[in-house]
Amino acid sequence: MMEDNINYIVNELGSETTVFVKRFSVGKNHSVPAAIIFINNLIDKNIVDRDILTPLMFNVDDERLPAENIEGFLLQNYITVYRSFIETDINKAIETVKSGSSLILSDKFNGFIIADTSGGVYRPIQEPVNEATIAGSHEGFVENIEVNMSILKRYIKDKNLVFKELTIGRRTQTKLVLVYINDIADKELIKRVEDKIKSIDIDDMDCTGMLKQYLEDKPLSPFPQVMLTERPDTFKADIFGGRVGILLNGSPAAFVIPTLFFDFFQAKEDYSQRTWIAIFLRILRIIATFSVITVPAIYLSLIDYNVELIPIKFLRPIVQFREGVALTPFLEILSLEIVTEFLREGGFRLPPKIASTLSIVGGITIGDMAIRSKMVSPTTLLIIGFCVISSFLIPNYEMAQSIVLLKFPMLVAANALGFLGITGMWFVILIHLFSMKNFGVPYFTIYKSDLKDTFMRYPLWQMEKRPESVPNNNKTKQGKFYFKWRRKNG
Amino acid sequence: MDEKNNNLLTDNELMFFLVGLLVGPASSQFPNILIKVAMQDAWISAIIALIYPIAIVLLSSIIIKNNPCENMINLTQKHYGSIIGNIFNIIFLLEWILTASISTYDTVTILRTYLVSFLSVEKTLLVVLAITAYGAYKGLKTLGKFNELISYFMLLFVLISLISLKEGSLTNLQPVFDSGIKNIVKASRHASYYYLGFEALPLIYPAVKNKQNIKRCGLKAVMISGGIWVTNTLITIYHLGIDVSLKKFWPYTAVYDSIHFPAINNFKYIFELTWHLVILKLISNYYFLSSYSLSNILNVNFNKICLYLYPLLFFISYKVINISFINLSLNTIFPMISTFNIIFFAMTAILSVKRSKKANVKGAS
Repeated sequence: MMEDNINYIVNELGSETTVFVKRFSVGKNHSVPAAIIFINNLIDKNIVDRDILTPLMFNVDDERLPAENIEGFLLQNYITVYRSFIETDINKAIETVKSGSSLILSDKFNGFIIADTSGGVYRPIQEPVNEATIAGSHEGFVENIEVNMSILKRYIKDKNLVFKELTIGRRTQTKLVLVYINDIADKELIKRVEDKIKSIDIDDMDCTGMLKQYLEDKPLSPFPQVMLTERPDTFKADIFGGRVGILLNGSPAAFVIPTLFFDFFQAKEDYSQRTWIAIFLRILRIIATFSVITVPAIYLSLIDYNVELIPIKFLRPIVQFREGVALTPFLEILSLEIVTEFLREGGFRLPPKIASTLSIVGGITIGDMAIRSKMVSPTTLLIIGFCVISSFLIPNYEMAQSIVLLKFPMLVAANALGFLGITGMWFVILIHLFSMKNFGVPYFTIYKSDLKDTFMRYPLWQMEKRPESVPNNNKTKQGKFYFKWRRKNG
Repeated sequence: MDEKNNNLLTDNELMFFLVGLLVGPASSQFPNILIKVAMQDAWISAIIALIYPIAIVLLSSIIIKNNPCENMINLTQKHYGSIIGNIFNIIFLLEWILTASISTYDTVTILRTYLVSFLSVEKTLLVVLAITAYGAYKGLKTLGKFNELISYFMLLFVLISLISLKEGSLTNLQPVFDSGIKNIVKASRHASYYYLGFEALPLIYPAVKNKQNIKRCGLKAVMISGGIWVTNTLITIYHLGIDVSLKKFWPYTAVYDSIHFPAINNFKYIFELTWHLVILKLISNYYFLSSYSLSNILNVNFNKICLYLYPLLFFISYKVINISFINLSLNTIFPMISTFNIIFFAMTAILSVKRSKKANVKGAS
């Protein structure tokens, strides 16, 4: 019977090359034949040798073995692995083996002993390269979901912190964990997220970047609806706001649901800086976002159709520099935009040392030569350069990409319809944003109470409430303690 | 999470949606319409004309109070029967379609004069209608949010226009009441087209979150839009005087000529750019109301009606609407429509109260 079970388990685990079966006898007198099964590369061999095989094979006194419930006796007295238990369902036992546990079976057992022997080499905790801060924590998520959960547990001691485990991917069977604060997160939102994740029926799921695309309500919208983060402190702050966090095994990037439009313009640094500096930076970001989308289009409309609107002092140098330029204003702007996108994408893919060469070749050589060869005018280059720099102010890379993408239809509209095109495109963009929903939550809505942390960032002591834009069951984030101090200090 | 409530209009959204039905392309011409009759007392006519939207809001609130779940189209069919009810509904619908078409025509004229003279009328019309159709297609909640956001910019620009006070003269407004009470009242009747729009209240109220606040929101909207119209007229007369104002086609726009900011050659164009969002929003609002009313009358899917209305509005704005038709509308059609609205709303309000009382008596017995 034990052999039948072994065959069934090996067959279910799939790969004979990685599944390891060791037959051995329990007790000094070898009275109980047994076997241990695990997947070779998922376990820590030292744990198996030291904490399971050695005590079972050399320390068990056969005469003390009970007639009934031998597996319980062994678990209680000999197996020193702290996470071990008895499982009677063979299919559930097989599932645990896939995650790095070892399974011990015998004809004399009424169930299977499961011991957590998971191990292997993982990347250590490091600071996320793309989300570095000066004053914040330098810890980042890693690929191992257990480590990520432990980081969060260290940050949040609250008993209401919930880790809900799910599996995704028919073949990869990747572990996914929903993280939320039970008395803050909206129950309907949790159910909605869980139902949507459970409904995803695909072969493999290897990263959160893929998962978020399956979860987005409007996948064809230019705007991202889920924000990835490798920072546990950002993730933690979001779930305290009533959001539902998602961790996926194998992916260091986590995300929260729902993510709303203004979340993409808030950096972790905003909250550790002085209020006025944070407000100033947020205003700069708004100006930058508007500039990236609109400034090239306004410039094109002005020099193409409404020259009379340019003050004469600006008009003279623009006309002088444009003299002899071969391309039309539209082609001139479009070609420069495309070249800058080439440089941006190239710089992103290349190793840092070569990327600096690219920026020198691209920025200086191509820019200078483009002007000298009369392909573009210096004013156009200035406008494009200004927009490229502006796009770096948007703290989230995905949103920055979306904003950059929007300037192309805006340019085409401006070329075809002048200022009507610009107004019309903004009309369409705003209507699109207002109509979007993310898990039933309006994506772009300005609540009066949320103004404290959208365009502005009020002093932290004034942010008593959680954001109204995210549904939650507990509105108050902090007490009105500051007023007591102020009164005492006169 | 209350998703159902998330789809309903908040108080501010309702208020600014109503404001968005009144303030649009005609605001630039509005002072001249009144100045022709009431001279420098035109701003008083603008205040008197507010009686009409206030009456509509009050009558609407009576209708809403007695029929908290049904919109005006269904209510009319219920009170007057399907044949007479639908005739009333079609007259009601006419107001939305006519206003949408005239506003589109005005917008195209303003756009082609100031910004897109290189575009043909047809192209401009196609683009304007396509943009506004998209807004209408996205529904009332989206339009409500959009109206709220754009209205803040609109109010900012109205406030900026106050800068021109430094270059005007108080003598332009004097002597007060010189044109005579009769002319002031007569001019206020000419304002009927500009004050139409609040009739939408009993049409959209089932999609409002706080139904008990509708009357307050409606009156606030009258105050804001009335304030804009009166400021608009007052500033134009104060700044330009009635003689210069009458010589200009869009006198209110000329007020912005006097506002200068460094590095901006002509602030008027900045105003025009932002004001176009206000105008497009107004057309989109009327496009929505036309589609919504038509889909209710014909019992056809709203989205389909939205698409079918596009060629119809294009045809009316392009072929039917012209200067003489607009004059006919301002002088005859819209005063008739406003009279019809008052009688129609009053009758419906009385019938609603009677039916509601009857129902209460039956319920009690």
